[in-house]
Amino acid sequence: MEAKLIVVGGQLEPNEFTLSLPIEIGRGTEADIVIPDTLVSRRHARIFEQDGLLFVQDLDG
Amino acid sequence: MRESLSKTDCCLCRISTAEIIRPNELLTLGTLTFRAIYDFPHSLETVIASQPNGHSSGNDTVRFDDAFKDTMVIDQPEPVQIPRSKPMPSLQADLNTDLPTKTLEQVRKENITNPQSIERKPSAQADVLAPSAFDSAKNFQNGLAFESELASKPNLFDNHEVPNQQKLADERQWLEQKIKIPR
Repeated sequence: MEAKLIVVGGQLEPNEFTLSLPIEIGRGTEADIVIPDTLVSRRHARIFEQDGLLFVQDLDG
Repeated sequence: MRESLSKTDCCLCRISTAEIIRPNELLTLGTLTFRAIYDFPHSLETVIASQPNGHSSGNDTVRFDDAFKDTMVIDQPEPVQIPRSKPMPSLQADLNTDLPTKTLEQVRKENITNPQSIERKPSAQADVLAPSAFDSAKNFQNGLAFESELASKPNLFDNHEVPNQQKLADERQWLEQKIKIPR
């Protein structure tokens, strides 16, 4: 499954991410998509695919 | 995007389990907003219908809760309601009219009031009914007066005489003065 996240609000480089699912999003450097924002926890969310749909799951935020 | 993910403060705190990111849906994380781009080959409604309800409980089964159902946008245009109107009275009258029962006088009156309804035909009958012959109700009334006058006129054949050409010409001239006979 080919999926992308495109930044449409805020500043982040790069502004487009091709997702190799599942991925983790967080402030920590171990995340697949690193968001340098204090409002984002180090392991914030996980995005995975099931039945052709994307799902977002909270981790420890 | 659903409200729980639009919050700028730790947006996923209210979500303990997984939620769908629909194609082209916005996902807000902190101060950033992402748009999820992917192709979904099936009908979203079909997938939802096949998965009863609720969130994922952590196993392989992903469920959906009622709050998420409220965010679903299912494009189902409402059926167009076509009002059932009654036929116009005049049309209904026409439908109820038995045309063969009309008398010639009724047909003539209708043609006088609505000359455009006369279908032009090359026949003599069509010419008689044409608006030029009966172009007004006044002419029609004049025609009735003429008929009564004609009835009072002595008949040429009362004496069982063979009319000569002069009498026929006079009679024709007299008739032409009264009405216009199509030639």
